[in-house]
Amino acid sequence: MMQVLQVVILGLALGFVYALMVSGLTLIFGVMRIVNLAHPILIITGAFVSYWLFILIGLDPILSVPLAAIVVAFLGIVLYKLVFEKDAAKQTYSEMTVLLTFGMAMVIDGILAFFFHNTQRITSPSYATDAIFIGEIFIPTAQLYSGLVSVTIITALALFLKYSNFGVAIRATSQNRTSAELVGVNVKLVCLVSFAIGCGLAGSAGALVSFVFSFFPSRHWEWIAIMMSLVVLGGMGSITGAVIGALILSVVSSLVSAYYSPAWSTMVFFLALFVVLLFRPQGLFGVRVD
Amino acid sequence: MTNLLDMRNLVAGYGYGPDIIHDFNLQIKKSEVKCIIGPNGAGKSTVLKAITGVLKPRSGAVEFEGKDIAGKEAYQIMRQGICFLPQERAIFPNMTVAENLKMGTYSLQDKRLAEERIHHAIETFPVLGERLHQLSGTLSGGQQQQLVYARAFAIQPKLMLIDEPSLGLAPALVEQTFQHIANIASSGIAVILVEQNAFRGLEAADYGVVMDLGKLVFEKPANEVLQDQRIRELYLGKAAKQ
Ligand SMILES: Nc1ncnc2c1ncn2[C@@H]1O[C@H](COP(=O)(O)OP(=O)(O)OP(=O)(O)O)[C@@H](O)[C@H]1O
Ligand SMILES: [Mg+2]
Repeated sequence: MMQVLQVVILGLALGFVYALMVSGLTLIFGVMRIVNLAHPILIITGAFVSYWLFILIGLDPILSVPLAAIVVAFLGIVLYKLVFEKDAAKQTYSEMTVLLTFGMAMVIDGILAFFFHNTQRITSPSYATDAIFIGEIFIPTAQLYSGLVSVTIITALALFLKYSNFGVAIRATSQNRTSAELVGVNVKLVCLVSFAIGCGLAGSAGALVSFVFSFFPSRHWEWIAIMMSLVVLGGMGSITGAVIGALILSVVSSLVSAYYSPAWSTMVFFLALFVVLLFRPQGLFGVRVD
Repeated sequence: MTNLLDMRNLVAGYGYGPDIIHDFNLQIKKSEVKCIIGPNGAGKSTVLKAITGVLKPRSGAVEFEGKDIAGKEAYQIMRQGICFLPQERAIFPNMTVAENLKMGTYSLQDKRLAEERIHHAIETFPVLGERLHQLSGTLSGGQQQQLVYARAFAIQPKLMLIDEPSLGLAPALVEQTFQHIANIASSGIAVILVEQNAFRGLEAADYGVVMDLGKLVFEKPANEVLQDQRIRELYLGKAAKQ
């Protein structure tokens, strides 16, 4: 019993990191119907920011979370201006964005690989190899800290969307773009800011990922499918859904890994993707941002 | 009295497609109600979209209170005091009734005034007051309709454009909706109405505007349009016989 609890807790800690990884993806989809396949490579970009700040000036990756977020958000604004601005106002072009962002992912991957090569890296602050015991339950501090920071950021995002004026405008735009305009929301600005926030979330997730997983530029291909399965289970565009989807799949895959075989744990994500698309394509929570 | 809205030689169309509206003129003064009628595909909705910036006019002038608004963004035009209720039901389904009403005062800086207006809207639509914390997507069709009007009340525009208010509504709700429109008009707000049920629409209006193939056919006082023999045959057909 204790051992099950142990596995579940580890799965949850990781699940919150996954949730942070996909929250920006689902926010951007909810507002603009852009399926951003470049989201995982933006996470890796954030991871590189933290990695180099740690290597060069010894900055703790948890402290570099805001910096990674800002750098990647800024990159997001540039990409948005270059690629999406013209079309983001149209709600019906999500098919096209799959190709567009796929290409974007390849380009960023290529640039990162050119400079940093595809060698495995991991940021290694002192706590990365530590663990703490709560009773008989053991939790690696890297997963504990990254899980806690993720929860904090996701909570802040949820509060921002629920209560701030601009957050409400973001939700309104994702639920009914024309109506949002017709009550006075500057939808173009909402799109730009949501894209920047979504990319910023990717950057912040990258800072955490940098000491939890080893990473290299082309690793994002593997993450795309996993992240898609999380958002599809929750329902594209629903942040609540993405969080719940991430927690469920992370726990299940940890259980499979512990009690069956680690080799099959990744299968959980793809199986979920397959089953959800077959039986409930709108996911657990429909298509809106909440 | 000067015109509140003055639209001259409007040309509009979608994407790379042909012009849908040709050289269209429309004026409205404060407190007037005009009803645009015409066959399906005549371009009635397109005219409303072009006024409100949902669709950018290709050429022509649109002036509101003497200011040029052609080509401006929809949110900017809205902030000038034009409220548009499009054909499709314009609520935010995953927001509560209260949040939806609050969206009506989104662009209002004065928060006290905003609360007053929301309060007033709730008083006018008590059904909504009982459901403030319900998600609006779960309201019945009639309640959603009321929510749209209540939000418009909270906006307190100078001009309201309403596209097919009675479309798809049960007869009792149609009456209720026209009652809302009458209230809006009597509070001094100018209204441009597009209505499938031309008979009912003209009854609520001061002027009837007949359009076809993207052009103005003629404009007359509503009661004259109602008497016009050609119009009775062409557009009022079914409704007039009822
Ligand atoms: N989004 C759109 N894209 C392209 N063409 C459109 C679009 N909406 C309308 N049209 C075309 O514009 C023309 C006028 O349409 P509009 O909706 O303005 O007519 P309407 O008078 O409102 O008709 P209805 O009574 O059916 O509502 C039609 O030929 C229609 O096919
Ligand atoms: Mg129409």
